[in-house]
Amino acid sequence: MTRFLLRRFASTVVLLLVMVALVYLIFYTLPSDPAVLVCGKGCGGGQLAVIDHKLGLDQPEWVQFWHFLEGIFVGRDYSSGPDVSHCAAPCLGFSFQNDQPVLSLIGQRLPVSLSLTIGAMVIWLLIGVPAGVLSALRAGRITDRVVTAASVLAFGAPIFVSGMLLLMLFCGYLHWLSFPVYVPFTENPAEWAKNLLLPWFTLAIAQAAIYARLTRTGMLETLSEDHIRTFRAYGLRERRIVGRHALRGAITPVITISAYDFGYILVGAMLTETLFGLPGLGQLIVQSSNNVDLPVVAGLTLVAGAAIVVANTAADLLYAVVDRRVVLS
Amino acid sequence: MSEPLLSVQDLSVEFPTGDGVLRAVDGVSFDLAAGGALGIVGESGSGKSTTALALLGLHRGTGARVSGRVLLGDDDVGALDDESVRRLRGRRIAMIFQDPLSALDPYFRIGDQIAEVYRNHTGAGRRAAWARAVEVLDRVGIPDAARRARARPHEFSGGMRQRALIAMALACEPEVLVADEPTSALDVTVQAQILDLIDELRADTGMALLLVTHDLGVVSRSVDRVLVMQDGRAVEEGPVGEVLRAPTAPYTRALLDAVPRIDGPVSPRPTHQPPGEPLLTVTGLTREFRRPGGGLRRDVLRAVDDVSLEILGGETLGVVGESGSGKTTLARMIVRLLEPTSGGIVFDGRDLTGLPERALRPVRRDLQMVFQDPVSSLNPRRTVGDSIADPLRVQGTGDREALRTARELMERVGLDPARHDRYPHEFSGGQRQRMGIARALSLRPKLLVCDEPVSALDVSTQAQILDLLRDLQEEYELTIVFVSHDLAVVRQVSDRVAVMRNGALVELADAEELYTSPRHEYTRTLLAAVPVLA
Repeated sequence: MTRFLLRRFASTVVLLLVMVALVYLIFYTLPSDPAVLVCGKGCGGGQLAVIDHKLGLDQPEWVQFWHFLEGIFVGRDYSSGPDVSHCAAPCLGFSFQNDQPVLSLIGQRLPVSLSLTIGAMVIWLLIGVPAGVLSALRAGRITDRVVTAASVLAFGAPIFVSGMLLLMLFCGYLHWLSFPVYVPFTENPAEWAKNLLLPWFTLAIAQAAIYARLTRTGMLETLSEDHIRTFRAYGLRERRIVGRHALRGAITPVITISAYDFGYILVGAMLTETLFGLPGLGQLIVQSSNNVDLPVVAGLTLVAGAAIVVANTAADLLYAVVDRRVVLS
Repeated sequence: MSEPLLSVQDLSVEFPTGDGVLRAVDGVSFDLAAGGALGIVGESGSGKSTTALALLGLHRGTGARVSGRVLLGDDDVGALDDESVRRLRGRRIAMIFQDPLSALDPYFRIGDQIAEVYRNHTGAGRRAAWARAVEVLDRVGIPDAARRARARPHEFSGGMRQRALIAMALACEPEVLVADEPTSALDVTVQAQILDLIDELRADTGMALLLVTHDLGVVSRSVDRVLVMQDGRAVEEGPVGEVLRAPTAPYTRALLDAVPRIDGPVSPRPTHQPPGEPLLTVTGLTREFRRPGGGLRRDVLRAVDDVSLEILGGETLGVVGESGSGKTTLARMIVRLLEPTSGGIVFDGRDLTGLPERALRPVRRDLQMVFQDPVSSLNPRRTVGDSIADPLRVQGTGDREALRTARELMERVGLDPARHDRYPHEFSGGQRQRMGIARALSLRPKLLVCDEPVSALDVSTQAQILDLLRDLQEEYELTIVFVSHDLAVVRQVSDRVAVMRNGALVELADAEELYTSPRHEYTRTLLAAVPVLA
């Protein structure tokens, strides 16, 4: 087990480094001259050279990459004008447009995105997995058909439609909730949850549909396996067979997809964030892309990638707990 | 006979299917005395497993319709409510299955699975249940049971898993053990150990045994009475010695005639030509596989280890061995489906060693292979005619000509050529194996390598395929390499026999000599393990 953990950890670190290199390659070496972006329109040749020098863009590319890595591990200084800004480790770059290190921009918005993602994930797992199990146990019967129909409907409705409908229903007609405003968890947990309810459900509805289908397929597959027949032949209660033996096999694909979805939704929930006016990472990536604020986009890409990689590692560890054969192969 | 422990009266099981109702079991009756042993034999589709499942009421909730009575003591399994049946299962009547790997939950420790069953019926505490699990594991001969109980099923060998499943059955000391093909997935030597264990436990605990199997040899050594089933009906029942020696039903007679004997007379071998010059010579052939998970260390498994042999023109060379002996790897290297790690192959005077694929292609038509599983070795989305014609097309024959030849071959191997445009799933297992043979013959090869060609087939079908192979060998002047785990079958078809173990060639001799006076210790062990018909 220790060897498995070490191996898994080492490969995660390697993967993260490769990712940093790739993101750097894409955002810092391929596109147009960053100096032009910093300087804005109407910059003369002389000014560009000065900025190039200040940003270190006149150095060979591998030196620049080295500085970038250095920034991540020990921090670095940026200077675009008379004053010098320090960007502490882990430094993911510096946004000259906002005159802030990329990480602090991300840091302001990360709690919003984490709140949104984790809450929604809990809800879609709590709805999707039981719905899938129920659907599999009643396969072909009316319950199964209702769940299936609901899944198709929920999955088919775009976020801006389902979110709008929820907003209109609960804030517009019923007046049960006021229009969501983000309240930090540390300030007021009750208000935090109340304001996030609608965004959570908006995100969770479509996801729950996918998870219900996934769980249903997995359950049907495990339920037809020989060892389930064995436990029936030994008189175990159906509830125990389903809960303990069948679910364990069916849950593995759910773990995989959860890990991926976590990373993806953390940075990619721009529709929900925009709809509910939540200042999360999704909005930041849209703004930065529109403003061609490349360091921020690159930083966000790194965060999203890291989230997926780390979540995947967590999923692998979970597998190893669920199924010990993983440790061996 | 005193009051029977288990009495089955006029049992029928019907499955509703897309086109009508399938009557899998049709009015079967039998009794099993306390401590007695009854065998149910039959070919696939005879309804023997369906009968076994009905004894535990396992058709409940599947849509099958069960009628008739299954009496266990005073309880009518069919009439009890679900909860009462659940309480019977595992406590009074326990079942073990064919494939012990899939029959155990891969996610849980073996000890926990047994303890769970024990707690389920006795309400014992965790600690007591674990102790019971270790006790029964020890009883079925798992060495160091206290430690091995913590293992998961994949850490056990096939024989150990079947022992573990038997331990689970023993946990609540049932009155009846239902064993559905308990040794069919195991090697003969392991099979002998498991059957011995069941005998011993029966003598020890006095539980009755209902043994379901296709193998008449297994029945002959393990039970007192036997019931022969065909198409859902019982065709004959009686003491096992009598039924096997003097069967009254014509079906039983036909079944017995079809069984290849390891001791009985051998059907005459074709004598069209004396085995001549070596057609294929293999020297020092070795194949290594990297074990997964070895990391940076080179952890290799030597599947075939320095094997040298000659295959003589016109002969049939049998290759026998247990699972993992390397026989299939050897077969695949001979037809160059697998590249040897080292060693040489000379075919028909031509050195094939290290020959690139392009240079090999013209030789390939002379080297053909027939696989074990006729289902998965045929493309389900191609018609039978196309599948048989494909090798010809690959070698450049025109489409019309290739299909004409395919139809001729179908006729030759006993298939209706009019069905050339049908798909494999519309044919039976035996018919599909005929297709596999027709496809292998389409290029008129010199050497035909058959890897377990009849292992997936019932004995009567098996006999037909073996007859077909013998006729074709004469007609096409084929040299055949016949790979099988079944020593009796190999004896029937081979001129010479090679015995393999752990990748190495243990013994190679004339068939008659090897079976009557084996020289190697391992060959003797193998032969002794084969259950012989009384």
